[in-house]
Amino acid sequence: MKDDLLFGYAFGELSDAEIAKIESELMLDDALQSEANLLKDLKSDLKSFEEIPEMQFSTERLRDAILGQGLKPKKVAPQWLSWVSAPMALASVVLLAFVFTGGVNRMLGRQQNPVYVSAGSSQSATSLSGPMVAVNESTFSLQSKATGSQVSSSANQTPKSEDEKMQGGRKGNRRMNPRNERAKGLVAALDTSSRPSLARPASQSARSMRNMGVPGGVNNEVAGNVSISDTVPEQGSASIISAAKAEVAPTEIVILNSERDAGTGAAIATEVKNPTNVVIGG
Amino acid sequence: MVNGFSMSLRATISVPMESDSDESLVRRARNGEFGAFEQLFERHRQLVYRFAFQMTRRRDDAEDLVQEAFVRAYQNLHRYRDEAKFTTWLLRIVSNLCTDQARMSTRRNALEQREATDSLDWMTVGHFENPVDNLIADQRKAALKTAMMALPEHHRMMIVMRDIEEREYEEIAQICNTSLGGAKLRVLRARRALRDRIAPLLEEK
Repeated sequence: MKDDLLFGYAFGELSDAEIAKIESELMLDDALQSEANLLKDLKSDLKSFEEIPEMQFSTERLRDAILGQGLKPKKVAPQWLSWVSAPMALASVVLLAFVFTGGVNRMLGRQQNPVYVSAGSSQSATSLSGPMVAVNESTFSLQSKATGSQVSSSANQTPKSEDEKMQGGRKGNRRMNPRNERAKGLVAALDTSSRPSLARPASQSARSMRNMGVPGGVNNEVAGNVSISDTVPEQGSASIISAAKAEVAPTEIVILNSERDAGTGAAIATEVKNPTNVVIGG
Repeated sequence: MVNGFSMSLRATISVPMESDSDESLVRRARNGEFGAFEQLFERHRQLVYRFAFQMTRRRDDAEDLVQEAFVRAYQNLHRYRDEAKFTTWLLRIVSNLCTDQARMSTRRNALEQREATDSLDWMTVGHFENPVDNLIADQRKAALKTAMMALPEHHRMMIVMRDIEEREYEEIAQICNTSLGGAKLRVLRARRALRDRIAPLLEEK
């Protein structure tokens, strides 16, 4: 017999038919009978637990207890808010991470991954749609033998041996030390007239560097992970000025004179179409 | 004017009828009427106390539980939903408190209870004519008390609710937040556990 039936019998939870069936079985089994008697005694003894001492807990004590913790019932935010708050918090964290890791730029199509520029590409191929290289004019300069113009780079933070190698003009596909390249940036400062902007396409910078006699290519991280492949084929050295003239579109310059217009009182201005004829700072 | 008077009269008549229910008292207490909550306390404090005493077997502890249960009930009145009876909700609070208390002071209670049981044995008054029967009955009750206090708290709660307080399985299921079958199974397991604990004690006596 299952003991749940025996418990049900002893605690009075069975139907009459079930009781009759169990009692017939109990008549035949003494052990089962004694077990049933034990459970019946248990049930009757548990009834004696109903007697309890009188409570001495007063309403005043309850009032004091509630007043001690503030009379007003606690009001919390609606339950739906607790369900909504967790996904909202998660979404805001993801959004912040997205913004700070440059996800917006990726979404808008601004490329930040390394770009490998072929040195043999034509001017049109290295169009202005490519990434721009920020020019830092505060760093090193090296002398171009061909043109005599000055070229700036990060020589200040480059170890001397590396600098010497660069100036030695050794050819070949040799990767430059990335630690040196990670410095302040590449600068291709030509003559003053060829600096209309502080930013140029990476391809132009690559070409400029190669033309300056830098062996191989440059693997750089200047201005947002712009890289220039070190598998750039060699070209003959060309004039930096001619390269600059070919690559940089002429910009109109407005010269403000010290004289003033009698009618308006404003400074007299002169527009110059070809900036190469203008000496700035002279 | 007449219409407004009849409406207010109807409201006056309906208020006493509605104020009898626990739900209306809860609504009034939610709106800051502390007197309504005091009525709830007066109405149900004995119920809560009985349950708490059966669980702890100590009057002081039971009264502390009553106080804590009503304070919690007052602070969480906004959580009470009308689909359950107020007493069911209240007993659920008490049972949770008993669980918490049992976790904190299982060992202390067991030791103190054993001392109290042993010291009060001689005071037991018998109901039988025969002194031997009285002695046997007293020993059985003492063994039962010891076995009850040795039970895990969740088993003891089932025995109290079903076999001492004689609550229906449906209500037990609501208090324990389980199904009807689940409640029956819990009660059966608790009874088995009690039997397994009391049998050796009775043989020993």
